[in-house]
Amino acid sequence: MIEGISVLEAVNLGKRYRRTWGLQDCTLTIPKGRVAALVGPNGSGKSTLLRMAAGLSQPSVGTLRVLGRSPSPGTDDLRERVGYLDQDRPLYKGFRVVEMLRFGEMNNPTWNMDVAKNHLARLDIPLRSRVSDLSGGQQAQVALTLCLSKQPELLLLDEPGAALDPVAREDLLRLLMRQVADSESSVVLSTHALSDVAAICDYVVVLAHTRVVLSDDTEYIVETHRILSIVDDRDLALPPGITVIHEQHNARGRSLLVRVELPFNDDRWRVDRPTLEEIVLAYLRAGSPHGDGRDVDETEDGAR
Amino acid sequence: MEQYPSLTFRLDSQSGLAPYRQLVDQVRLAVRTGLLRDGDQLPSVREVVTQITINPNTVHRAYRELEHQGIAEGRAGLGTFITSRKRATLNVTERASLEQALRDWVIDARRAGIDEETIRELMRTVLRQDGTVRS
Amino acid sequence: MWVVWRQQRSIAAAFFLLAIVVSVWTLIMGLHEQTLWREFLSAPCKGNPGGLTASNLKDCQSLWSSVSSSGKLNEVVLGIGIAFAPLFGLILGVNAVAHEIEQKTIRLAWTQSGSRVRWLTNKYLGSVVLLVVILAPLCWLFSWWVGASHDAARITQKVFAISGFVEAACGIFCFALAVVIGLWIRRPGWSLAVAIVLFAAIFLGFTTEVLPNLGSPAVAVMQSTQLGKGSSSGFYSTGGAPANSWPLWTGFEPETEKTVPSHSLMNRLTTNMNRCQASETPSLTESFCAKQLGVTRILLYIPGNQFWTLQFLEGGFYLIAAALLAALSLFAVRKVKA
Repeated sequence: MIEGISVLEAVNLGKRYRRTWGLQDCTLTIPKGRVAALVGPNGSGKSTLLRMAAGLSQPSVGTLRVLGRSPSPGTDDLRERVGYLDQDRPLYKGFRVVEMLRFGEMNNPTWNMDVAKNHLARLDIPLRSRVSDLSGGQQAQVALTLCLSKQPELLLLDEPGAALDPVAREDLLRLLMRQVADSESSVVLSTHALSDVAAICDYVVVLAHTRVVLSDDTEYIVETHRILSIVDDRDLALPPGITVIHEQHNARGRSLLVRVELPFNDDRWRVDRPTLEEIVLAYLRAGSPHGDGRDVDETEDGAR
Repeated sequence: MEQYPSLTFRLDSQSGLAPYRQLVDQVRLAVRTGLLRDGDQLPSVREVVTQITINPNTVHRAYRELEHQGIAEGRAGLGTFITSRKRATLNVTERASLEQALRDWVIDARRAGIDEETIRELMRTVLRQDGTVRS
Repeated sequence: MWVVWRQQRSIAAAFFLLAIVVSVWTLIMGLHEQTLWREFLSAPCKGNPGGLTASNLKDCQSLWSSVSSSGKLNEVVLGIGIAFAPLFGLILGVNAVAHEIEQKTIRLAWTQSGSRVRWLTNKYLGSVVLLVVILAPLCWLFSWWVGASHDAARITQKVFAISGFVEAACGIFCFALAVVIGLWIRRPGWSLAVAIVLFAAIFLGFTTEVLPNLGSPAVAVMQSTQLGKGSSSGFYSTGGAPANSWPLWTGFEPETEKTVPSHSLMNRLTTNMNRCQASETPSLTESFCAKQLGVTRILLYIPGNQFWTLQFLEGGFYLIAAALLAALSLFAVRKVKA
């Protein structure tokens, strides 16, 4: 589903590292104005995709467009409009916080120093402290502030909540949401734990083993997936228009997480609405070679 | 200075309801129970985002839904306010009878030996299924 | 640019302090030796321990021994002078690129609004300014020291590198070298090691093989009485070469010739002379064989007035090489993955 302009568009995108692929057959479109989550275990290709979108590495195969442009080292004006936060949240350890802000100011014509100082003041991070004296959570906040203060149209954040205690993570996400509220930026962030960011995402991309297995609005995903369960009647056929994503057997029957394409009316099945996490987990299990229960169908990615 | 009286939104990640629906429902409940009255201002998107960790689009969506349902209206430059346009109030009698029905049900459930945790579980399941039935 | 200076600040400060210490010590040593040499040169033996007569023997010997004992520390100054600029340039270069890559801050730097080319250009400009500001006074000081310490004439191979501006050019070359190697190896420790080895090879190669062939040698005919007398350091005319020149090698030339002989001719004549001197028992004196073969002993030297020509040639070599490396790095930086 493409509404208006997309912030990120990939067609058959792939990245090869020497002998392995970091990402393959990636086709997706993330619309503007979303807070999109790239979900998947470590090594599934999230960082690879984000780094390519930030222009730090080049695709081996396929095309990638960010805000309509190709993110190569040559497109300078794209970097003005895109903020990137690396997984390691690099900062110059010997600098003071205020010097990091000065770094941001000197390198970005769209820098807003008031926004930067307000963010840090609200978090009680003193400007005169050295970066190396700050806690991990505070360093993450400073690194995020560097991205936000240049007021980009698109934010690419690699595991922004990782290695942070729950309080620090909440603070970071709220800071991010305030920025989105103020400036209507789009956000693409990656995580290996959807629950960390489920409250704020309205678009989800699920990656398993370097491939995209699902990408769509969270609302649409939640509306079109159901859990069908039945007790003891193991051979009951499924209604038409149902695609099984993942199936589980237990002592008392079958439980299937399915995608519903056609409305159905079959009282023999008990129907429940899964949470977003349950849906994502099912896609991840189905995409894994050691899936739980029976891996029934090949999953399709969510491209339309 | 905002003046919305003690309306704090809460998101339940277990409820199976979309976040924007939860906000809509919380406002509707607040209006029905008299916590919010005609002309009260709802928190601004920015304020909600500061209170709870939520996507601002979700708040926009909820407020638009409330406008659509006639419960609130947005005034340009000022914010979103509760309106008297089309409102179903829960009058005292309706509320008392609903409460009594619920109390009876709880007594039956207790007699059947169901504990509080199971009651909550049942509530959640029914609310989830409620969506399926409607669609 | 501010960012570059801020990032290079600690290294520059450390080398600046080191430069101060080195300068003070070099100044003290140089002044000390300068005084001793002045005494020695104004003594009756005129600074030539070979020109002794019975009357001035004792004075000259004691002056000569004090001069030569104080000169033992010259090698240390020489070593510091040769190592300072390259180390400064290499460490700045490794800090500029390889360190950022290892610390992953390159991912921060390359996702700001400017281009990678601009980022690297700023690194070059900022660091070269730092190099020049600290190295220029040092170069001047070392040049002065060469003259004051009489360790060797400034054009001689031994001290040529720390006279004039060659060391500053080396420092700039080393910065560019460390940048290129850093882009390739991506780790500061290994980059520094590889760069040190590479620079040492280039420097030694240039100094021993290229430099002697850059100048145009001249011929001086030597009297046999001058053999073995005094040093041929060239500061003052002893042993055949004029003052302040760089004696290259001695050999033989036909009496009638006055031009610079070819290597093959010189080798042939030396072989003949050796055969002549070894053929008779007792061995004949050199002057007898020389008269017999019709040759005179000569000394090839580079005259002192070629000093600045050679400086521009060697300095130019390092600066042009630096420019080429810089161009290479500016091209390659767009291909490097972060």
